[in-house]
Amino acid sequence: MTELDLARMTLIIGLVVAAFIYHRTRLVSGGLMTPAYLALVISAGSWEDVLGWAFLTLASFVIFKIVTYLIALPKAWLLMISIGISTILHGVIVLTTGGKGGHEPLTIGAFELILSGGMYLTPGLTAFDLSRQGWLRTLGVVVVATGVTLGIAAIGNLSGPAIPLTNPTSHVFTNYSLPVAMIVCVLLAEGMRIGFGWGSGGIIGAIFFVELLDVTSFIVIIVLVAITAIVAHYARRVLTMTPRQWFQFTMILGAVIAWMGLLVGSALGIDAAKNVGAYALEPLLAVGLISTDVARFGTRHTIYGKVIVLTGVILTNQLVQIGGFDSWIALVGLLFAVISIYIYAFREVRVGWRVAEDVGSRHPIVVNAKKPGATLRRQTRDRPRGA
Amino acid sequence: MIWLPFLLSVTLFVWLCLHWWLTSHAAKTARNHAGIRIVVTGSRGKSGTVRLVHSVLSHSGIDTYAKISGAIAEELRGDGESKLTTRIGPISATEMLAAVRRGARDGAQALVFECMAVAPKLIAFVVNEVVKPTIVIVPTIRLDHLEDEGHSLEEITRNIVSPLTGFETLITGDTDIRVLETLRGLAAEHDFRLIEAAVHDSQPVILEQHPVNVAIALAIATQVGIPHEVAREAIYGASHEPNAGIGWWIEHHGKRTFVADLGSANDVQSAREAIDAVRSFIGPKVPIIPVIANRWDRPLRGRSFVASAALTPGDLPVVLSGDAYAQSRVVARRGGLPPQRMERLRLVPSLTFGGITRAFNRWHGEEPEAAVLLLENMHSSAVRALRWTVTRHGHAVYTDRETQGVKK
Repeated sequence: MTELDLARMTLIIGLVVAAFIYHRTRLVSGGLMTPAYLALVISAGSWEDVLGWAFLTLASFVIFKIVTYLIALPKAWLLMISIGISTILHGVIVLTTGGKGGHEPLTIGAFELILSGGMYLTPGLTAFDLSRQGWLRTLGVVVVATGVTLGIAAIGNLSGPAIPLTNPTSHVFTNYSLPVAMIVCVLLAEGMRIGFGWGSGGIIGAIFFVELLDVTSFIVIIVLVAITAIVAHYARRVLTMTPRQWFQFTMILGAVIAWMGLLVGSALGIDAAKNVGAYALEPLLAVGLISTDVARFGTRHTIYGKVIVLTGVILTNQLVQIGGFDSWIALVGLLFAVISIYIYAFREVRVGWRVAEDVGSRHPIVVNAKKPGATLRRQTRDRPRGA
Repeated sequence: MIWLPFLLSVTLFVWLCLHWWLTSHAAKTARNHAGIRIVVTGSRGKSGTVRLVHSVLSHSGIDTYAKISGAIAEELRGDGESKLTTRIGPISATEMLAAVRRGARDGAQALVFECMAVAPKLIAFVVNEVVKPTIVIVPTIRLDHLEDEGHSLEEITRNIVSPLTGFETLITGDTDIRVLETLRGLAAEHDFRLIEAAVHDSQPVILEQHPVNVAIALAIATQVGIPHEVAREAIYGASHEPNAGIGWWIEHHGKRTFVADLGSANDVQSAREAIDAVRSFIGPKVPIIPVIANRWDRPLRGRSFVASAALTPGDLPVVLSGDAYAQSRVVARRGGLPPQRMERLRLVPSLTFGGITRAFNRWHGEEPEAAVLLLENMHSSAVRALRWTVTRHGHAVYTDRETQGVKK
């Protein structure tokens, strides 16, 4: 048994525990991945990261509350903003401190990249659930789910000695390019969703694909996604579940199928499977995330979104590494392109505002009878503009 | 040994899938035991309709289980007993699966469910996958949930009804021609029977129940073969919404303030109807002070309420509250409400009798009587505190019963 297996086991146990708690109580765990992520960092003894996560969650929550106090936005935007806040906050902290992913070097094998990714995303997801579900319930579920995950994982750990892995250092990202790429990736992926209704195959998935940059490994992932999609299709015949539960099911199924596929592929001596399998958690999450996006947005729209996000991440990574004035100008241009997606998507939000205000102005709720001379201040219309 | 972590993970996943499957399978089996399955969806009047339909069916000898899923989740059993649904987490469509099972456990021949889902995708899940109703009821379609359901009555109607499959009859009490025309088109398109339940002068008047809901319940009776006379009698047994039609008088500083919570009227049209009902009790000359409790996760509803309240004539203030206060001010200004007429309801003063009476006194100005009406939603902590203080110190009266004004 290797640390890689233990990390994968912890991830799946965390996902199963979070999904089970939701199934029994309808309480969400601050992001499906959060208990697994916290269990992984706690297993690694990296308590500084737990504190960092708590700080980022609190900061994201405060900023999120300020934003919602000021601007009326639809739910899809609110989730995007929450994740965006934590990504930008963490990215800025990392860039100013110069550490890769903001972490002290971890000695827990091959999953450094994914741990970095978790710190960008999970605080935003938890901050969103804190706003929706309240502090007591959300933090209660996070603590219980993380504790149970650690407990079950400890039983698994007893099954054999852990064989340390050599850490495959990233050949693609650097200490400075990863935070910038993460920010661009998150903004692009969320932009695809709210701007065009396209999936992106997950943020972690995009970063991992760029890390691999290998056609045969890419094919391995796609085959695993296809198997997951087929199994999920047949499961729909016997399971009655809400969209949230289907997301949980597909995520866990994708992770299990990816792990099994990589084990079998490696055992059969398939090199591509070995390359992908060198990473502990990334392939498991990538398969699950792509499968869920394919189910939600359709294959074609997920491919469109994925291609754009991958292009953005590759460009960002290259530009940051090349450095120099021209590269930074190009990077600023890229950021403007990303922002323009949001400006485009914001048109719909403004239409919603206008319609809502028109509805209100056409139906005054109070017409005081005491002052018959009083007139409505606003000309009403028969139909709302933009409707 | 290398396979052990994998096997442990797979075992856990299979165990979870088994739970999911058992829940799904039990709900499917339970659902098939009930010959009559009804889902009530739409914008307003769902809870009242469920209560009335439950009363008609169960008092006519059909063992009926009903579930109300609004702000208060309640289950009505065949023997007339009611029970609040235990909710640990937030409201979710998954609780319908457990409700179907509980209905079957009671041996119910008829299941009546209020669809708590708002997003069309989730409404379709509840209807097409969980309940598979024989009859769908849409009491009314209103301009609410604009962000989820659409921006016009036609769009909302289409988005709610067109994904629904497998039912034979749809009953509506809506009278808006745009809703009816859309429903007629959908009926032809999707091959279901549309029944337009109209309010008749001869129908029974049920206290605290909307006449449209009564008309729908009588239409349901006809559909399931209950004689009209039996249904007319049975309908009087309907239960009531807790605290429906109750208001409180507060006396202070030589003035009188009437307070009522109209938070269940979640769109401006329904709110106007609710205010008119209150007016018939307090009299047409008592000025009204609307308290709008805005919610960050229902931004468009908040905007329409504030834009509507901004048109309140007179000099008395419009009170804003909730966690989207800044947006409310902007919309109110744009709607023409001067800043000096905007008041803010804060949490701490709302917790004490002295605090609320000082606020009421300020809001009244020179008026000896006024009505403070809590609108839009019931989730603002300041509004909750105000309601709590008022219920402790005010004189509760029924506002829409024949015994109007009687002390509760």
